[in-house]
Amino acid sequence: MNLTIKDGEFLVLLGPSGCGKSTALRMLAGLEDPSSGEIYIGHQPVTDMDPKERDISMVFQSYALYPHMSVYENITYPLKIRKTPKAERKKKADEIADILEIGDLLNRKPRALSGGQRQRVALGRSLIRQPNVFLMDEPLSNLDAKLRVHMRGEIKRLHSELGITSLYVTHDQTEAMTMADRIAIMEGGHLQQLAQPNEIYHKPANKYIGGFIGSPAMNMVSGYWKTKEGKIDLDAFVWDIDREWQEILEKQLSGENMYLGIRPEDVEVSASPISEGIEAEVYVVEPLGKEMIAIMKVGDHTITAIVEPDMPLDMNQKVWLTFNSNKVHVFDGSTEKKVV
Amino acid sequence: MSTQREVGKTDPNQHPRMTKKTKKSIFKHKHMLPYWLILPTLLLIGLLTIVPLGYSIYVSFQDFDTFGNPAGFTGSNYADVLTSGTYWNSMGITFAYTFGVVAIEMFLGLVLALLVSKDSKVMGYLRWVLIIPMMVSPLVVGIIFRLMLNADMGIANYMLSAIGLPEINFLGTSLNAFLSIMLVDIWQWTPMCFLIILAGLQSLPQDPYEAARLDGASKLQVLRDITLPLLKPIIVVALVIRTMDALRMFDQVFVLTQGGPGRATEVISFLMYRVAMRFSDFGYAAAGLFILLVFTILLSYIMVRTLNRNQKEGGV
Repeated sequence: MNLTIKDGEFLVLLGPSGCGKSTALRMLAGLEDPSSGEIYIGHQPVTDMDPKERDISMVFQSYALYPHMSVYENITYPLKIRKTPKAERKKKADEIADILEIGDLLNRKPRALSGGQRQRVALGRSLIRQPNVFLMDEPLSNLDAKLRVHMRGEIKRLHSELGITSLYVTHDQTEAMTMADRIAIMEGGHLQQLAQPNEIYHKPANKYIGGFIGSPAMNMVSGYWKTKEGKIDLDAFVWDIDREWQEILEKQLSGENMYLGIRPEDVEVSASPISEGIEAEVYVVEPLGKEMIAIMKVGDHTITAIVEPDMPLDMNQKVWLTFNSNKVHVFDGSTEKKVV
Repeated sequence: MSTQREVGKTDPNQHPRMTKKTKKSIFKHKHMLPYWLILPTLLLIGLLTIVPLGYSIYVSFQDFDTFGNPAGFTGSNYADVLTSGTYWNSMGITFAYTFGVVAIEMFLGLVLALLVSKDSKVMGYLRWVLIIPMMVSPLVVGIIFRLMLNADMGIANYMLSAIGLPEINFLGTSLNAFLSIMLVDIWQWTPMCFLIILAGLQSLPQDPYEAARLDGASKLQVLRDITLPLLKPIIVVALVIRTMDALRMFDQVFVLTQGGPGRATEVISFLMYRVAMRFSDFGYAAAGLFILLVFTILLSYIMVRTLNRNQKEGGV
């Protein structure tokens, strides 16, 4: 994995459980030794340095607060170790407590705090000594959904105020999309794509990322390019493609197999027949209030679309699907890399 | 008008043949079941501890004649014990011995546990070796040490003279004899403290340690600020167990010194054994031991209360 984080950047390491993102973070922190490779902070190699020499602070998934210490003692512990005078410790603790709105909790023990409050204390302890790099290992995963949304905003705001280079590990794509300056997507121990959230969403580098980012997930249909006819055979239907596409596919496809990826919001559903539309049958509809998710069957394929909430759709009803070819992603059948 | 109907009204969910009486008896039966289940255990505990304790209290209020036969109720046993210089001398020896051995055993147990807490094959073997002394019968340990510490033909003096050090009369002087029985206890029971503290150490959460490493704490600071405070409840448990055990120590003194030289190692248990077995004054012995029991309970209570207070104040 080769990854460079810019000064002051908020980079999110995103990937499924077990993809190695936490291990990468722990290696950067110095809690685990890499079997090979080098880690630099600024221009300084830190691979063989102890965690305390790296000037890094970290927020753990479990908060890792010192259970026997009060909130004040927890927050000021990094300063106490550095023999910072008491008065200065108190001043800094008050400043941090103000920022994190935990001023009234300073005398409590972690046991007497809620999840969100513990999270703030963990943030406070990490921020009080103004580290070079700020690491967060799934810090919101133990919070309930509402608090998670709130803390997401808080952390983003805190980063913009303090400007500390931050690396944030999560498996939650919403957290990644909403908080990151750039997202690094990992899978199977490898970096799959490093880009800004919008680019990741609109230009996924490969089939895995296309399917991983976005909810509901991108429709992925396997297809077979009929070179002579200039058509893509998708089993249930055949797609005529224009000259420009034909040239691109001819140049970039390694074989004849491919995957077509279409985001649910790019699928148009019509209840009345359309001549160029693909005939489908409604399998199930899921109303979400502001929109509705329609899952349809086209032969053996399942296609998901986001439609208007008041669209009258019934189970087993016949519908016609269309999509804008500019919004279709084509992935190579064998390398799974994006072609178009 | 509705009274008659209400009287005759039946619960639609109730089985027609299930009368109010049977329902109540089932409830009563279910309610009593846990008590029936723990009854055998309660009886066993009663037979093994409460009855003997009650009997010893009864004995402590009995006067005994020269032949050891009960000679009627007396309240003077407690007064005799509490005004006896010998008793308080033994109490002093018992407490000095207890505080000495427990402090050293706890310290050594903690150091050993910290040294071998890392998971590796060698450490695994070492842990087994370290708990061997605890498995040997105290009486056997006493006999082995009596042979080893023998002033004339013991291996201890042989080793001392082999490296050019003067020989020591281990069991012959007051201080040496006292230190020797302490040594035997420390050798045998440090492993218990070690084992309890090791179990505690290995169950501590690892996250605070990683946080402390990142916060910049040195190994010593981690020990002082994280390990010891988190281990406090475990240390108190080990302390209570060892204190209760050391206060009633008998075997080592019985085998090694018989309370001597003079009364230098005459701990309460041994003094009371002598009073009961040699002078047949079972009432006096029971009263003396009951007072020791009260001290033991008080001491344990204080330690457990400290532990509970700590747990209430801290801990996630």
